[in-house]
Amino acid sequence: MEINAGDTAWVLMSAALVMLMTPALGFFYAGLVGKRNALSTLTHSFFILCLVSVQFVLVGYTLAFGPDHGGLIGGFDWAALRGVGLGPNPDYAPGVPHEAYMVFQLMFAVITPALITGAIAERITFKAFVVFTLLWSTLVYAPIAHWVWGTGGWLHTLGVLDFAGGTVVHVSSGVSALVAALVVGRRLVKTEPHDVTMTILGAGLLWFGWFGFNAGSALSAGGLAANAFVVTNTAAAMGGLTWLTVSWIHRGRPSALGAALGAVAGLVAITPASGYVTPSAAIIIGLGAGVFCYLAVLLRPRLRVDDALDVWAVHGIGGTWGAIATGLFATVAVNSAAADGLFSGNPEQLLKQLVAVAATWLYAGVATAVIVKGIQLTIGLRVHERDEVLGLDRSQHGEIAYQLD
Amino acid sequence: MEIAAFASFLVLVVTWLVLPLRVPAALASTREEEPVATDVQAAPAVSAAA
Repeated sequence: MEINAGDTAWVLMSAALVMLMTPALGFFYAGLVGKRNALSTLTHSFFILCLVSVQFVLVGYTLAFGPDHGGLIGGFDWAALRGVGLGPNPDYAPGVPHEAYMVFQLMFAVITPALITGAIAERITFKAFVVFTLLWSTLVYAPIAHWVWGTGGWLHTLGVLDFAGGTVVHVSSGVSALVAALVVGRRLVKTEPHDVTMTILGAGLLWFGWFGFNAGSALSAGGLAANAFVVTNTAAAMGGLTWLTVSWIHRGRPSALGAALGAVAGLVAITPASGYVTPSAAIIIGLGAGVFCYLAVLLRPRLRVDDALDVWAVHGIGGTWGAIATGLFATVAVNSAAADGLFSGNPEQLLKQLVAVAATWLYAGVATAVIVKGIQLTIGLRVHERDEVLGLDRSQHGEIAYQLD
Repeated sequence: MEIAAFASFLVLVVTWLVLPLRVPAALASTREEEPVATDVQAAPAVSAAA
């Protein structure tokens, strides 16, 4: 089997684009928290980039993509990348080196737990955050990635369509965020976004990196990647336009922050569908993301959960809508290797998508509850009240973000 | 599908045209910026008078 130079270049470049998304997410989140927690919030994302990069090489990749065990998990055959060589793996990416495919997947594994940190920002201890990230990446992300993308994974075998991680990345992190925020409890002091410009910069960089996330998932430099690129941009734009409009109707003004949040919601929703739908469908998917995620943000306070940065509303609901929309709008006219959705005459695909969504909600929710409760009962989750008021930048890192006085 | 896509975009554009702006008066005020502009412009005049 021959390595294709163009495909390899595109996959490696896409891995670099996805890598940028994690520090971008740090900026996106840091602007949304109070100024006394900006640095700790940025650090969560940056530290995860370091931590999961090593975890994935040692055990994450083999558990997610290694030889199948019962459709549930990969074996330890590829621990520490033993046997993951420079030649292609025909099961995953026939035209690129296996290591290139691995590092592309590594970047997905990095950003997924980073998404959750937005829900537990401004009150979790650094130690609890580290333990949570390690356990969650190993016990939640790796199995779900195997179910959906691993050769032999039960949802993969069922025929579920998830091009770039609607269930694996967004539903899993969004639901886990809600559960983690519930167990950790409310913040003592509810802060306002301290720097919306930082958040919009982060959103712009996320949008840029998302081209690697979705178009890179084609694993080849061709028409499928081009379509994924176009629908990604279209849905992001439509999500931004819609959220801004809904917030304008609801609050009387077009919110700059709303445009940024809506673009991210659109990006989340198009993620599972990006290899299967047309640009017109992407407009509808972006529209739905803007409406549904905005409504979820309004609903969340009624759940009495302090999901600080609305990770569940944007990623949990956006990812769920995207996974369902894939079952509605998918067409073999875009991807002949996939399947049609409901609107192309295949209602069965919608049922498969619903099974994937339900399984991910259930497993991610229960497993995260067990992990977070376990940490709470052993090393504890929250900083001392005094430290929370002081801010995590000072109390956890001994540093401050700004010296402007 | 194409018709739905066109229609949804058109609805958004029309909505922007008809929606009123309700920015809170405190945020819409220019009071914060005025002293800065006055100071900068006033400085040469003070020197000249001296």
